[in-house]
Amino acid sequence: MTDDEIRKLANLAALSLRDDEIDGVRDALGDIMTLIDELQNAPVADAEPMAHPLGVKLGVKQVLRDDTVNAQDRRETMQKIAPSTDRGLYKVPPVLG
Amino acid sequence: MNILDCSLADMSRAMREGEVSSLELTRFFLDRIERHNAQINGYIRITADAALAAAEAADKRIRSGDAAPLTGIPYAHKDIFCTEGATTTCASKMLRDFIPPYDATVSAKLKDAGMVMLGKTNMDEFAMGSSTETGDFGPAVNPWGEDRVAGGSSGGSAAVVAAGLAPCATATDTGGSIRQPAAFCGLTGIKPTYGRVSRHGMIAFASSLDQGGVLARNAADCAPVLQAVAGYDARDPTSVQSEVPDYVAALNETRLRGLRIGVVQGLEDDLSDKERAPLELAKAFYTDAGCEIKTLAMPSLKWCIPAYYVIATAECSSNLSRYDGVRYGRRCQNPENLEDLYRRSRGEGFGAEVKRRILVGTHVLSSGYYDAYYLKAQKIRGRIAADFMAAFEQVDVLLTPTTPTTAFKLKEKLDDPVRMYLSDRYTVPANLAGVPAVSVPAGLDDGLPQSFQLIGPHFEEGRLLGMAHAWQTDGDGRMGRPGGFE
Repeated sequence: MTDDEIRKLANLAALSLRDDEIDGVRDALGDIMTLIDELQNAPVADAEPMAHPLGVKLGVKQVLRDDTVNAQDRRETMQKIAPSTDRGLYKVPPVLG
Repeated sequence: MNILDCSLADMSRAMREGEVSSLELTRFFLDRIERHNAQINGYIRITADAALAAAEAADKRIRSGDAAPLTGIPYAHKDIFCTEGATTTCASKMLRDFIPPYDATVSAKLKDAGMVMLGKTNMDEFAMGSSTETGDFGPAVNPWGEDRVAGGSSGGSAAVVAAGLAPCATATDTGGSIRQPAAFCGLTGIKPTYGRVSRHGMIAFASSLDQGGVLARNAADCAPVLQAVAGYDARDPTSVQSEVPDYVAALNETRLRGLRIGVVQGLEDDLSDKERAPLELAKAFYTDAGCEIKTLAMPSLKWCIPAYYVIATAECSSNLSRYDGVRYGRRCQNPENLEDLYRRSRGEGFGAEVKRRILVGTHVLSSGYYDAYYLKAQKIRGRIAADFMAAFEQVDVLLTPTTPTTAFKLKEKLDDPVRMYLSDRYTVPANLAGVPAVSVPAGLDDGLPQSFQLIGPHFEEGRLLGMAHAWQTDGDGRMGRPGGFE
């Protein structure tokens, strides 16, 4: 992978990387992708993708809970642990000028 | 009574009969933590005041005749489980000051059972690692060798149980994080069937693979704790609505005679005779007990590691997108704008291994690569699960190594992620297939614990614990304490 590709990925992942991290990340990702690329040799032409770990056993699909009201208002509790709030809202830097 | 030699059942009986109190047990372990934790760095937070208060409450409950089987028994809690009002960090700078406003279901169940939390244990950051070296609190050290890793990611939990700083501990397993530390520290560690234990409040790494479980000295101590944490939870839509069997009864009710044990063709070929020794011991013991050993082929297992590292990193990159510096967790200083807030909060909050995995996961999910990586890995996962289902048509349980080697040296693999990943090759298959597996200690090599692994069909935790228990009571499966921690 090139440095530009690493920076593009970091951008997609909303992750700042310091300049002194780039070399290490590039080398490690190169090794990891070489390992992962072994997948390309695996014979999967007629295989079904498995998304749920119990899919094969139980045919489990998405389980829905009963459609009943159970939400509580826990805004104050949840906002107590936020880095910055203002009048019940989460506060972030301005998005528009 | 010598508390260090007591089983959980012994402690429970002694408390009910007034021979010892929960407060005395709790003080005993807190005293050992005080003396030994600095050597092994197993606990990253000790909750002594809360533990003493919980012990007093447990003693009252026992006196009133309202005790559950585990009431008053101390335990160590992996710092991945949310504990209401008690800092939960996942060993990350990102959550250094995070005080959860709720309990994980596992935390709540152990609280309801009357167990006494001694503290929170060290781990790899967000459970990403195999050595408990990637977290923000320094490495956990293996009590069996001061230059050795305790394994990971539940290395802190394993180290404290092995050193006698807790009689049992919680742990989680995404690709081997219960079983590999168990193997390295001479403990029994069970990863239950996916969906058996609620993941609610268990900080997510890879949601289709993560499963909570237990580490203890033997199967008899694992069983009651697994009993306490297992079961359906409406707050985890992937938890399974089926009755939880009696695991404690299964310890003695599992009949070995006639059980068919599968060994996988070619799986042990690259191991030395010494490394294969625990498997030979297990084969001899179970054959003597009337089991039949069959060799079978599971051709898809060779793709486990690449498939796992696509699925785990993809899910990790998705799960960890929630850490954005807005609602909780670390926020960078003086952000220039919202984008800068996201990027720097994440860049400063995550360590090197977590960043690597987020980037790999982002890559395999990105436009144009999805079919080549994620979809392909899911197809291989289907094949691997089908191999397990076919195997369990022919046998009742699989016997494999847990790890290729005994505990490796501190820092030995830290800068070489691929070597670290390859050390998970025997544990990852059970996570991909969602089946239960237990690591069982089996002797020492050069002073370091060795082990074997039993993998069962979905929901057959009882059979695995029963087989391990037989080896630990009728075979050579009893482990002593490491030197200096007797």
